[in-house]
Amino acid sequence: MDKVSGSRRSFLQSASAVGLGFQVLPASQLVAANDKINVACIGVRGRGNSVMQTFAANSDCAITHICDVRDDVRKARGKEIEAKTGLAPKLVRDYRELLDDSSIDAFMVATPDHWHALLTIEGCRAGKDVYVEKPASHNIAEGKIAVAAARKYERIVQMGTQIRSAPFLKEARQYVESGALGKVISGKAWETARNGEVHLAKDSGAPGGIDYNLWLGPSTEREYNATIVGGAWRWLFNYGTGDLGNDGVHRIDYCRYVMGLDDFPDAVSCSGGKFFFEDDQEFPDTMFVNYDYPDKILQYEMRLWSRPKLFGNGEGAAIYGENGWILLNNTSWTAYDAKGKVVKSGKSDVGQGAHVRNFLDAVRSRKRESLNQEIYSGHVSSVMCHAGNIAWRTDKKLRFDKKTETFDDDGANQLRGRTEFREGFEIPDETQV
Amino acid sequence: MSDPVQNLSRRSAVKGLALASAAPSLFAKGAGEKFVIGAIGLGGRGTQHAILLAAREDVELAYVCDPDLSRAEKAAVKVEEAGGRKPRVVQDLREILEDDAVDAVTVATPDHWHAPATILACEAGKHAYVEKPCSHNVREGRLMVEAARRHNRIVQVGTQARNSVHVKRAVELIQGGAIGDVLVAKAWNSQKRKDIGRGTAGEPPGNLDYDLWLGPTPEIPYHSNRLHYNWHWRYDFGTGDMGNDGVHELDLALWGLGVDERHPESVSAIGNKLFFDDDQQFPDTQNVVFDFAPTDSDPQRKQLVFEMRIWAPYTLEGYENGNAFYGTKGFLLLGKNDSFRLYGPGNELIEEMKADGANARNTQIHHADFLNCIRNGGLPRADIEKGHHGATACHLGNIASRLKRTLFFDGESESFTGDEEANQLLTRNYREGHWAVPANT
Repeated sequence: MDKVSGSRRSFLQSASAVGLGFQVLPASQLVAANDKINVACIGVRGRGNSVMQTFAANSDCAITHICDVRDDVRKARGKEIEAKTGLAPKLVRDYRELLDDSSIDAFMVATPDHWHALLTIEGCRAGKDVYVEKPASHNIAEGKIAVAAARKYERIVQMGTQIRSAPFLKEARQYVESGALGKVISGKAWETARNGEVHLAKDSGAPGGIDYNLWLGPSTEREYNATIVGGAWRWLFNYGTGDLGNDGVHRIDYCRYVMGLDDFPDAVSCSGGKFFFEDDQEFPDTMFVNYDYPDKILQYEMRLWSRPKLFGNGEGAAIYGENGWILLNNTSWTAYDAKGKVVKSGKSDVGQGAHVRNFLDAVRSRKRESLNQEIYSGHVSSVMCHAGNIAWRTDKKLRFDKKTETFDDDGANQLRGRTEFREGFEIPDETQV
Repeated sequence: MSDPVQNLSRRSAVKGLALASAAPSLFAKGAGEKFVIGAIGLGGRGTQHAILLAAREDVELAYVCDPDLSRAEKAAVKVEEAGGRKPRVVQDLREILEDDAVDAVTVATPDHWHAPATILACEAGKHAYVEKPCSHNVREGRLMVEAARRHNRIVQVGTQARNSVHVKRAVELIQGGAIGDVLVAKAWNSQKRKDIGRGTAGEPPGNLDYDLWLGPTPEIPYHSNRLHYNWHWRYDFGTGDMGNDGVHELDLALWGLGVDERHPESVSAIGNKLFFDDDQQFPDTQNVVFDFAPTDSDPQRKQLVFEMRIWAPYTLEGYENGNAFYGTKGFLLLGKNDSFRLYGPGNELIEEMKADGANARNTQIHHADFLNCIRNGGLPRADIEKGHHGATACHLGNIASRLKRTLFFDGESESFTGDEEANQLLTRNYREGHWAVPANT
């Protein structure tokens, strides 16, 4: 039983579990009109809004709370959701107001990366299930704590790499498992894009209409900067994870999934740098990251200054086996034989609807093993991104200890997580979670 | 310099002479006299060199040399068929080098003999056409460059794709800005090789002078799984498939990137044996990334990635061995034996060109280039300095794979920074006092 059982959902579960004379019904029939999964959506400006709409499209789910540090975003999204669902969500500036609200079953978290783990941890501690956008964390240490929190409070936590729920992907994995490729030895995930330059505006006082203290949250104290808060946070160490954690995480994730690499690699090395942009970005624009597994290797290839396709795809993955290979993109898989002939293929959508549905079903069933991207798996893919960035920053080939999630290098370990937190936004130690 | 394509025959070579630049001829004989050439190493590739050269009107293929006499004798028969004259058959390359009539040699031995034979040839006043990779290790490659320069000899490395018409056009386009600034190039090798199994120790066959075959290498006992091909996969003699096949694409990538006379500043790699369970020591799976630092004349940081799978029976982007060049305004895919395809910024195909004929044709053009430089001066397209850089890429990739760490290389001193163990792999152990040990200069 949960230590924190304030959630209505866990009450329902325990009530039916002890069999209070109710007929056991399939989950789909268990839901009455007033028995919706109540979701609080945190961070709803862009991506969060898109995910929120997907939640809202599920009739057994209600967007009861909208939380955002921007006043205008909160209000606009509130009206939109009301117009769409007929229910006016409660608008909340500070997520802490959500924690004690026992009507909330789940969090949807789509903030900047530096908030992901803390909100997941806080949600778990408050007895909420969590759907958190990728990457699951800003750094390795916080991601590990988020997994610990999910375990301790027995929460359903899904990371938002939605392609995991696209039906085509499972077909590809099953094809590999069937042995059709023979021995599968190496894989390559790639991302190409033509991004713009990032030049920071001058620092200024925070304008009205945004709670900048909350925006900063667990990151480092800094003067308000409109460019950073407006989106450039993604390209700065204190808040983001670069494009490896932004786009790359999807491709690495589905590549390793289809290859059957369900756990951390043994080692990582990276070559890359800022080859193109002369601007304020801190992360590289060009990267090759190599991941060592005991009997396989996976490589990630990234260029953010042009969009040359590999095998006709600007982003995707290739899985190389002894008898043939598989090409994956976000909506399809194609298997080729040694002569280059297509032997099997399949396609579907990118899986966002299915991914949210998969989460909602698990919220009801309480079966975390039914999640397509359970937090541990999400953490593995996120750590691969962090480790790639750390290998680049330290310029070393790093060995990774799966148990402690540490490297064989002091400099690299210093980049595992933050050492200082802003007051009020401390991330608890793993043992204190 | 005149186009070596024009110089397939002696007549056109003479014509080329008239067009030649100010570089003095290195050919001591009269304009009408033939090049006298000795072929050293008569496996498949070495025999092909001997046959193609023997067929030229301006060449007398005078010697075939191999520690395995049966191979040399077989080659002699073919040379006679091709050129109408039976060459002398010798086991020891010194017999060729001592003959003042010989102008040049081809060196198509195992890798551990490339540098010793080439350096000895230069010292004996012979020009050398040496197979790729030009060296067994970084140190020997540098000594080859020094020997060529010190003795003013032409040393052409057998990366013949440098003389392939469509490859030259591709590099011309790249360097002319057709795909914008080129930041990244890729070289790959995707093919299925054989499991070489496990051999045994034993006695060398009677037709083979095993001691000569070993040369300056320490006295390693004979083993059935080394001669005449599987030495490629052993540290003492070969350079793995990165040095064997990969060197061609690495060489082209360096050329296209404009860094073929520069060394990378760092090398990171994965290289493992993930497929074969046999006598091979080198990886069957490799991903190697080289970073090139900006220089005063070229402020652009650049990257080269090498990808190798020698258990994969399928191509990549249509090429078993291939290159990709990524620019800011498009990209170019190149198969040295197939074609190139140039794509614009919207991934639209802009230009395409097929390879002109078979591999043998490129080799003939490469021979012609070599002989033309002897006769007319100038540097061949795959001059030893460039060949040394291509081979060094292979060596660095293999060392980083073997040591499983990212390595930093100082191009000036051609040594790793702060890594003694890695530095030891820039050279090799020699048999003390052996006549073919390349000496420091």
